[in-house]
Amino acid sequence: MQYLNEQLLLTFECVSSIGTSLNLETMVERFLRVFTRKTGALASLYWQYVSEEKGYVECCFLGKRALKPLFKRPDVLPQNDQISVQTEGKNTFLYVTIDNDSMVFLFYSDTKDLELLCSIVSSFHSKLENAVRACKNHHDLLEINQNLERRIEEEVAKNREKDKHILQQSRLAQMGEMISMIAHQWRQPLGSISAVAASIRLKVSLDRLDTSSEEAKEQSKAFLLDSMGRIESYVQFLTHTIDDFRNFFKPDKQKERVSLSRLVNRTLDIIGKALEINTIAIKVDVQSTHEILTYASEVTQVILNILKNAEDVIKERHIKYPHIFIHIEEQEDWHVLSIEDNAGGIPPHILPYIFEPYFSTKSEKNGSGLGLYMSKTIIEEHCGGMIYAENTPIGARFIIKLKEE
Amino acid sequence: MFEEISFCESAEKLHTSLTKGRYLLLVANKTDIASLASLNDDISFVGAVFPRVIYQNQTFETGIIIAKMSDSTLSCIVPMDNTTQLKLPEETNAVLTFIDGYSIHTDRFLEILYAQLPEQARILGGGSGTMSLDPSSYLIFDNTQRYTNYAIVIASKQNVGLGIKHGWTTVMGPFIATHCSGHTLEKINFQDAYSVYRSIVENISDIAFDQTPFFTIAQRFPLGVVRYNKDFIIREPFSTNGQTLTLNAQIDANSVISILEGKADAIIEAAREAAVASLHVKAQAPSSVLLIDCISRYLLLEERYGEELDAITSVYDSTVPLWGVLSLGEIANANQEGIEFYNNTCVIGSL
Repeated sequence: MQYLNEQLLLTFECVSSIGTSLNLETMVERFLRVFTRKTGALASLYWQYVSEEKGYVECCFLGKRALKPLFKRPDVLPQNDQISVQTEGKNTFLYVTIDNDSMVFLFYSDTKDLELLCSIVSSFHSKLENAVRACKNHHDLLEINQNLERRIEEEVAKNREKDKHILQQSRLAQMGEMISMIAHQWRQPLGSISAVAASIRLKVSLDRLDTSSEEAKEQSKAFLLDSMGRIESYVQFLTHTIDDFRNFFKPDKQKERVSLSRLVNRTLDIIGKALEINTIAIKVDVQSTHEILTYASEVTQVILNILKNAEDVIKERHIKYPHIFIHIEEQEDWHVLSIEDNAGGIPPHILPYIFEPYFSTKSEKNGSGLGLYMSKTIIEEHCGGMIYAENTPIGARFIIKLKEE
Repeated sequence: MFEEISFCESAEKLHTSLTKGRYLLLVANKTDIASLASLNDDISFVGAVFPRVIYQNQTFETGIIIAKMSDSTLSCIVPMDNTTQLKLPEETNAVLTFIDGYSIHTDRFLEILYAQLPEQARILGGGSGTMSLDPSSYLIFDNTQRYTNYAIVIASKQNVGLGIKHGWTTVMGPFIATHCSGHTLEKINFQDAYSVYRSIVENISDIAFDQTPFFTIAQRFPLGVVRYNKDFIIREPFSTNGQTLTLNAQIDANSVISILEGKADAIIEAAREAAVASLHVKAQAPSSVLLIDCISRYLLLEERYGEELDAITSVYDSTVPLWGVLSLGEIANANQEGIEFYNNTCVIGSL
């Protein structure tokens, strides 16, 4: 082999050994191994300068551990050139400085033999330095990413906690609304019970419950039985109402096959009376009775929330001849339920934000700002559908789209 | 390191010849060692199987070399993939190791073993194995069991002289081993390694690849890994799939290689030079000479192999016994450089 060739080939092998690894230890170990093997170095050591500690740490050592004490720390050595050779007795050290780090090779040869090696190292020094910098930059980037990941995890955990809190607040708000609806539903039957009781009391106080003759006795008995029957009927209605509300509050664990019109009817069973009292006309147009597989209670909760919002805004804006139009139809793969009111619509500048948490236009105590946020979460994340709102010439329209399964 | 070296034709005869003590047994491939299990409890041994063993000026395919260890010599068998239990005494001056020649952990094991050596300590040894090249063979053994993927490590305070030579010369090169994976050389100069190797060997010799076993060709024309200002390290391909070459040791990607040729006279002379070198680094006269010689050299030299043994023994006093093995890979650190796993090389230790 030609001598010149050997130098070129050693350079080639060393440059190749730098490789593409972005792990400093891996890259350095591979380079040291090849260089040590090819040049007959007895041992080699790579010191990495750690700026945080303002000192050197050992990154990689190859060779007999017994030789390690011969290697002096770079910070106790005099500042030399980038590549330098020092002889101590039979030991000759080749020092290479790379980006503040230090690489040292131990030889049992004289300084003259190492002059050519210095030239060879010098020929690929900048490539090696670039590779070391790339490794360090990559390491820094990884650390930044890890910090970022940790921060994201923390924020996600915070958000989860916030969601829990929102859910809890939403439940409490809904409970308040429910109590209000129960009050509406119960006012009429309770009034009726009270009226029946009052008429019985009046008869008794006026001594009109006559038992003096068989005929009068029969009439009084018939009156009492009729009154009791009416009371029982009202009580039954109250019980039925309670069941409706209880079912509404119980979230579904499993999907149920149900039509959208049925869900609308269930909702109107709960809120219908309240709307009726506020003279809000409800019109339901059912173009499709196709059943879909969904979480019925949750969807009912969303419909209820939209109807309640419509009721509130109608009342707030004192709309004349208020009405709510509910339309059910199929559009390709979607089952669509739209709820439209004539309350004047949503101001365009707030329309994009109405589904965000804690966003409310309702005056103080009425709005939690969670109803539409929860509605969107239920329809889009839980039921895999879509919900959005738009303005019509006379009011607002909320559209809920659900797939068959 | 060793008090006494002897040779025995069969394992049965050991029952009468061995006395209480610790032994290293180097066993030739065709020896039945089943009866070793019934040796007396006060006889402790570690052993390894090789294609042939060497005693005096002969090689044997049947028989056992018996080396009785001195009291101060430490011996153990360690797994090559887990060296945590390997601890060498600080006063160690020489380590003799026989590894599982088929192990894929050779390089890493030798690096860790070497790192533990004291500054002036030397190491020599070889790869055990059989000519059947059966990687499932249990090549290392002791009183209790046989092992695969283990190594024998013998450490001693004794200073040893060491000589390492091969005698192969470059016939073509340099080339670049552009793609390598472990022991497989996939591409030379970006082309299928086998095609390149074949075309070169056909160019420089009259060998017909279709009529000659590949193993035989590779013995004559191994590869040499080039080092700066140093002798190359031989890597012998032992099989091919028609595209890649499988070597009996690892090769790094982008290594510079040459194709070598072995000529009998040069190989024999190299063995003699190794013997001379082993004396240069040994202060006192050796009590025995340990030869770790590659089986490929034996197969290449054929009937002239005896000349290599004669060349080696001619360097020493005639009373110094020569013993050793024909191995699958040789281990040594020359001139205190890093440890290497050689092929086709003659390693001689003056003990």
